[in-house]
Amino acid sequence: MGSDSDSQTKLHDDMELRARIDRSLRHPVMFFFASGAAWLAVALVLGFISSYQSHDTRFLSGVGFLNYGRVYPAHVNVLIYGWGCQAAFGLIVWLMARLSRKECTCAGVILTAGHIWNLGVLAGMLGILSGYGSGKPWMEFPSAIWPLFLVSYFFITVWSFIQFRCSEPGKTYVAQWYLLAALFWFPWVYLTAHLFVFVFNGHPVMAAGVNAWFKYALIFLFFTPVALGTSYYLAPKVTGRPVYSYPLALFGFWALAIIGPWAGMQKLAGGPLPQFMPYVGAAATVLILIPALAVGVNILMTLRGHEAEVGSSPSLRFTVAGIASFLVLGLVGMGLNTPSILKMTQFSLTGYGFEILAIYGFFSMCAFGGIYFIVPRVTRREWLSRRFIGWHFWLTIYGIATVVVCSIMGGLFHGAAQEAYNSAWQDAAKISYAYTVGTTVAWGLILFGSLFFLLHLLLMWARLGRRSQHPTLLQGEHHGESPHGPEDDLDKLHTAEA
Amino acid sequence: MGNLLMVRRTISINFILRKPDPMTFKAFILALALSFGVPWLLIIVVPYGKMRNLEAVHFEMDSDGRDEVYVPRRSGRITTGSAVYGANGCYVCHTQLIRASYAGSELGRPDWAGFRIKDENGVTINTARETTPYDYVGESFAHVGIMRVGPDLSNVAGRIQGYLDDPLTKADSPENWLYLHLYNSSFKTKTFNNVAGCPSQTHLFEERVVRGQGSPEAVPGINMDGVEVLPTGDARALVSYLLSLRKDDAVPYSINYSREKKKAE
Amino acid sequence: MADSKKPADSSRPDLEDSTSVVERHEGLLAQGAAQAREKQVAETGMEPVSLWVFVASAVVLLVAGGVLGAGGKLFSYNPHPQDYTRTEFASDADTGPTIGPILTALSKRGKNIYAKCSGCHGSTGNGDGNQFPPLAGSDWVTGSTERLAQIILNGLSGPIDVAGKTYNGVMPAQAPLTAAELAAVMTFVRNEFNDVGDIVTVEQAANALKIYESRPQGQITVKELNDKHDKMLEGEPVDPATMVDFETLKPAAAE
Repeated sequence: MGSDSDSQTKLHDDMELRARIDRSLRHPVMFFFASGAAWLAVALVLGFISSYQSHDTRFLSGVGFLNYGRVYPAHVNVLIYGWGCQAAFGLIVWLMARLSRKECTCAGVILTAGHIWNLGVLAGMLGILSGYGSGKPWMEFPSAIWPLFLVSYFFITVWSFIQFRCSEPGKTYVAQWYLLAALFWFPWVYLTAHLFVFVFNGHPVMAAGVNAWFKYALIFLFFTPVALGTSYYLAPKVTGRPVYSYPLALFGFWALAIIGPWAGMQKLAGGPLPQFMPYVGAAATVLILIPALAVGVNILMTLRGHEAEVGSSPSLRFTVAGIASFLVLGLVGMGLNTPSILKMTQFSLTGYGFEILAIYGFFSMCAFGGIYFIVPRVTRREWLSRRFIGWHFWLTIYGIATVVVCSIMGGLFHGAAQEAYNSAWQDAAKISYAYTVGTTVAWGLILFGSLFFLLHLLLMWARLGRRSQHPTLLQGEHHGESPHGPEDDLDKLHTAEA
Repeated sequence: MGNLLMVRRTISINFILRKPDPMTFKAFILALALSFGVPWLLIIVVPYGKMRNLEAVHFEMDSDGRDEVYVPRRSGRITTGSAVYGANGCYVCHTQLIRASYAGSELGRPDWAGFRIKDENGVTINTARETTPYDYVGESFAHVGIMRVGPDLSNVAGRIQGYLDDPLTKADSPENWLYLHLYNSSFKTKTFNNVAGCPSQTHLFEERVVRGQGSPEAVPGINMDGVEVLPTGDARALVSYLLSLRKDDAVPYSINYSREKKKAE
Repeated sequence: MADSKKPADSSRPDLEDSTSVVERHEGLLAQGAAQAREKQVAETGMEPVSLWVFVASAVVLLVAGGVLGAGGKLFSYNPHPQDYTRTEFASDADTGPTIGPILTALSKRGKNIYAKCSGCHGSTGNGDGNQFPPLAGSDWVTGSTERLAQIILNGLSGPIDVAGKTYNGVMPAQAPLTAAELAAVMTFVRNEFNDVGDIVTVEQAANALKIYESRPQGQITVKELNDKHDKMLEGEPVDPATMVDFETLKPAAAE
């Protein structure tokens, strides 16, 4: 009897602690998710415009700031820094606080730093569209902005690191390995790339090489570990089952840590760099399939037997889609980087398809899974509509699949035609036409889907979510009064208490 | 097969019973620093440092017939033009990299990597060559490019000379050919109509009502009633940069990978 | 932090915390229903790593090793391998039949080589009438093959009579040439600008090279040509109509 009530009390204390942690973080986390989602919508509009212009150059031509050469870099940079990094920050801040079981006492600082990050993205996007872009892929924001980002990053994430160090000694979860690694890698990668390209006077080809390395380092050493950390948290949390295999998790983590930093320079294969560097990059991109397999097996086996929960929980559905995309990313990486294929794809659409698969198909789907889990906890409201979530999910899936098929397959055909050196150049350009049209259609689908997400998130941010104990699940019996379960049951509790 | 399974189970059970101690935080950070630091040193820091001090190559007396340092020369507004090139995203659709023949076939594409010209003996030679580390003179960042929607621009200055000989062309000088191309890529020739070509960079130009005889700096060949088109400073810098792009000069014997290379006697 | 507490039991005003578990639970639900229904997970499972993961990883490692092999010597700072030479990219101009008479094969190759001679001797082999003698109708070309070969390889200095005219120019040496190249260009000038009708074989050209090497360096003169080299090159004669593969010059069946 005594131990029962003891364990009950412990449980209640734990619930209270978790609720307090979530309350302490509500402002920064909701800010990152909401502003990230807004930038996502902007990035997708810019992406749609740039994709349309790639097959019809008369679209919005004549307007300087909507010129293809400015819209495309703006789209990519807003997607990465406006949406990707902010979603990652929201996830990191919340997950690290929960996993360290420490409330956040510096929410104000994080929020301010987040506002500064947003200002930086806004200034950067306007800078690129006005013609002050730096001309270095994935680093096109005007060159004065990057130190601001680094300082802002420090003030957003240092608290998570401190929380971890101050947390009670005990086991460290797999998710924490990945998040700590992401926190460790990002500043090193970011500072290296920006110093070596913008500040130091190096050889122009080596500057281009460091820039190419930065692209893949950001994908594999920041976005990938944040997505994997979120998935490793959600899969056991939502199902209540432990992660399938600790040795496999260890293997996957260290495989990523060892392989990831080498990838990226294959953009300059055959060029004036020391010959081993591009091919080491290509080999590393091939090897990414190994951690992808390890993580895929681990998480999917954790969820095995819980298909009903995967079907009904929005977080799990998006997580599974993200992990499946990671596996596809690994396979595509292996296929595209063998030397005979690399010849063809080095300067074709496939690079773009690979990056979108990584940022949108993999990272963003895992981030959506995290967001659908975290927002109810932070706002104390449940999602309003299972339809909005369902439409967001399916439109995004269709869109990503279309982007992958059109950009990656189309790029292969495009590249093969480029290599036919006796044919006229126009023939290669004509071959890519159909695939760029397909990519535009895909962006349209994704944009449409993400509008559902943005609207839904903004309604939650406006405290208009459902007040109910019963979560919004994607499948479930219909109840008489509402699709999700008895509404207003929390308010009934309150009146009972009073 | 059964024995193999038995062995596997035994190993795994041992592993379960002896769960390894988790790493200390210090060990974790050290392992991360090593796993990142080694590639960081080997493919970023050390090559960057070495390439900053790239030794010049020489033409040698016995193989090239002269004794001097190889200095590729480019003239034009390279620094400013390179910045305009980057700010307007030209590198998204155009590359500037001629790959070695084991990594790509643009060496075989006519007029991309070099040209068929007559040398001083009247012999037709092909000046095509791969990009060397000594190209990109005057730029701080090599605009290697992302995709090849449009042709590679390593030798575009040489190609434009050829385009001027096309009877359909409307341009009378390389600068004007480029101004026409940038303003509206279908204006360069009398018939070619280009749906998916280079987007119009009209923001690089100024449109002005013609006053009197018109400005001498207006781009000729643009038929717009009473309106003339003048290139802005950005357009001039960009065109100057593009006209400096010619990377088919003779290189010393030591970095000449041609099958036909012969030592000068 | 914690909400302000009111006494849970009005009959005992010192008691602040509710002893009722149900009430506390409801209070927690009000604060965080979502947190309340969360499941707790502490331990990670200890399933062993499947053999298939290792097998798949080994396959991926093999592929990656192949990719790395294309990268040449690891950590060498050369942009290209030491033995790299640019591939010949055959342009459309080079396409055509690949098997045919050896005369055509050699003449076709010889035409490409002759390109650098055409600067002086003209694209139709007529010379320029002043400094450079014609090859068409010249018995220096149609006559003995060893003489022609030594002119080509060594160059010529001093006066020379061609078709009734004296030319006093200087011809630079065209060596180094491979035997195949020499055979080709000789066959070409003998058949394209004249109609000798036979070929100079690669074997004969090789013998010419030997003679060239045994001679001191420097241009040859007419006197030396007539004294020492006025004969046909040694070598097995080959029927000009023999069908060969154009690439290898080896006999091949006609397609």
